[in-house]
Amino acid sequence: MRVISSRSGHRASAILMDTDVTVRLVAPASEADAERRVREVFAWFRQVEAVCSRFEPDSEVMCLSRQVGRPWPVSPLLYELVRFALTLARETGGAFDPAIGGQMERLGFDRSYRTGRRIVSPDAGAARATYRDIRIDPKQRTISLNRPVVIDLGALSKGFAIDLAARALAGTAGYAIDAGGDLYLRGRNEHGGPWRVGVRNPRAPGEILEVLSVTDAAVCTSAGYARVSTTTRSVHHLIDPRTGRSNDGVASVTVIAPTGLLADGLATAAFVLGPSAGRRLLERHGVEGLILSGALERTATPGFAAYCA
Amino acid sequence: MAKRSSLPSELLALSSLAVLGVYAAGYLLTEPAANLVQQASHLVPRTQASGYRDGTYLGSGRSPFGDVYVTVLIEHHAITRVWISYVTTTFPASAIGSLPDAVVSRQNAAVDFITGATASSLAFIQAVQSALATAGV
Repeated sequence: MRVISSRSGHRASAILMDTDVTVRLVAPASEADAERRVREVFAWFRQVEAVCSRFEPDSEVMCLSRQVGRPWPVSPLLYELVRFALTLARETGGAFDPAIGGQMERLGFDRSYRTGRRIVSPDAGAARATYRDIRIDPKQRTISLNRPVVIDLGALSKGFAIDLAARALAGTAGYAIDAGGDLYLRGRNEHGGPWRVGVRNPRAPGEILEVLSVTDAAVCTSAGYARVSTTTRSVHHLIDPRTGRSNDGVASVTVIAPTGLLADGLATAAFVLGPSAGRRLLERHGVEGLILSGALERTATPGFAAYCA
Repeated sequence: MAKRSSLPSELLALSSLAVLGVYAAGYLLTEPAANLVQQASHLVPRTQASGYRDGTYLGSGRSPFGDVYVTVLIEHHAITRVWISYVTTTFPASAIGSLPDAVVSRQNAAVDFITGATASSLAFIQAVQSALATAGV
């Protein structure tokens, strides 16, 4: 963990959930208070990872994937995530689908970043599971699988983690949580100005295409450039669950929303749906966003321009 | 261009409720996992050369998140089955669902912790340990 502390702000970073997580806390009451809050932020990320990791055989979601045909009691964290994932899947007609873990493994997205060990699941060779194979019982808070399903919550877990972690920073003058480009921003930055967010060029990730001015919101980006399949060329980690392949139409989607969970989920779904259907999805849910096509054509929701610095 | 819906989005409400639902569960994250692991090292039992007394034994273990109750069945002086009978932990029994079989494999309570379920794992180990204590360990 790297820590930089000064009167105006406290900054700490750590590698968690296979991502660089940075916390910036503005005008903390004391260094001890800042450190306590940052520890809690990182603890939330570890908790989410312990529940959701598709690469650890003993994570809660992987234990669940082996329980077929009976209702399995799950933790509140896993229950809430799966409930949201299923609602999003129904809402998008399966363009977002958490049941794609098996497909992801077959495409080579199967290695733990921490141990380097490959994960092999029983359903990895079977017929394609869908979100309809997952059922929840709201009264009992159980999840039932009618076949082995590797539930992939990777598209939602970072957004959820930043929402949960934000609680640790509540009551301070301002803060930013940055989990590999997925952000939660509050108040003003260390210089008293608005938080500034750069939208990367998905074709040249070192380059910033535009700068946004955002606060009191989550900003999440789904893009195809970060992780690429080791088994199938031209497939990156954002696959269309309905076809098992990546779509070429979209290079990145950036969504600004009140929660990271919503921003993360809608960005992923919009990526798969393509520019027009994707924008309609964002508008339907009252969030702002920018969709960049493969040729870098911009499709933005009407209120997005207000965020451009 | 599609008209913006004037109804609040169900998905937005659900995402806020999801966060609140986890907070309401009262996750305690301030106890560093390292401390819990250190506590467990005092619990590792010495190898039992003569075997356990036959019978069914109950035990319980405590954690900051609640208690774990187990039943241990000993037949022909060996541990043949372990059940998690009941938990009052905020985490579900499924989080440590693999531990009963691990106890049977090892023939003692010194099983590995489950990542992310350290407190429940510890409570489970304590529970098995207390059950085995009455079995003449």
